Amino acid sequence: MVELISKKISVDAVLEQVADTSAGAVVLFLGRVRDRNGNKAVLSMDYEAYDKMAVTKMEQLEKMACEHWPVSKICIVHRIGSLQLGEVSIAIAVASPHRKDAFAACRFVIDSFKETVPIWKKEYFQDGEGWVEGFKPSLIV
Amino acid sequence: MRINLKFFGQLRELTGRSDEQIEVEPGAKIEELARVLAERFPKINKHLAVVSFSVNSEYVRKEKQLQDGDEVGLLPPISGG
Repeated sequence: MVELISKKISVDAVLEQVADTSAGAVVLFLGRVRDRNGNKAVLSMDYEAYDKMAVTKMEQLEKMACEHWPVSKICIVHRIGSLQLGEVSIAIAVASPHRKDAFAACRFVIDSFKETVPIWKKEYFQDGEGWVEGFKPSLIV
Repeated sequence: MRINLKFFGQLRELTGRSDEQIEVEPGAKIEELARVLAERFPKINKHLAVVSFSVNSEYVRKEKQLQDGDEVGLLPPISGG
């Protein structure tokens, strides 16, 4: 299950999405708004997405992870709009019978997400603002 | 033929728009569209080298041939997560 939302991410709801009694392991990754970028203090962050394409790319990542590892359920949720320091921007939960596969699949999803899903963030500082320099998207996914 | 453009992030701010329709020659490729865009939106010219393109929600190379009605995304380097 994948989703783009503009409200606060509920970690409990994300974990519920991967509930499965055959899965002995659940790995949860949370990305949060950090208070610094290099030596600059960050005050808040705006996230913008190419909604339709972002969902397509997230679904492709979910499918690839399920094909590559014995994963029973995956949930990927990204938040868009204005976020404050410490708020969760992305949650990825992977349920699998065993922890090794759950860790590997979760790692694959977050690393590939950053290289393929069309989302942009803008940081706000005391003295200005700026788009975060990101990845030129990979064509492989 | 008509192409539906989508601008994001810095490109949306520089062009002052999220969507735009543009006419290109039938059979035009992404690289030709990029040349048209550079003339029409001089402010994004210097950014085009690092922009990726999508057609109908899939990343494409500059050799990709366009079809009438395609939705083309102009995607600056991404920074989600």
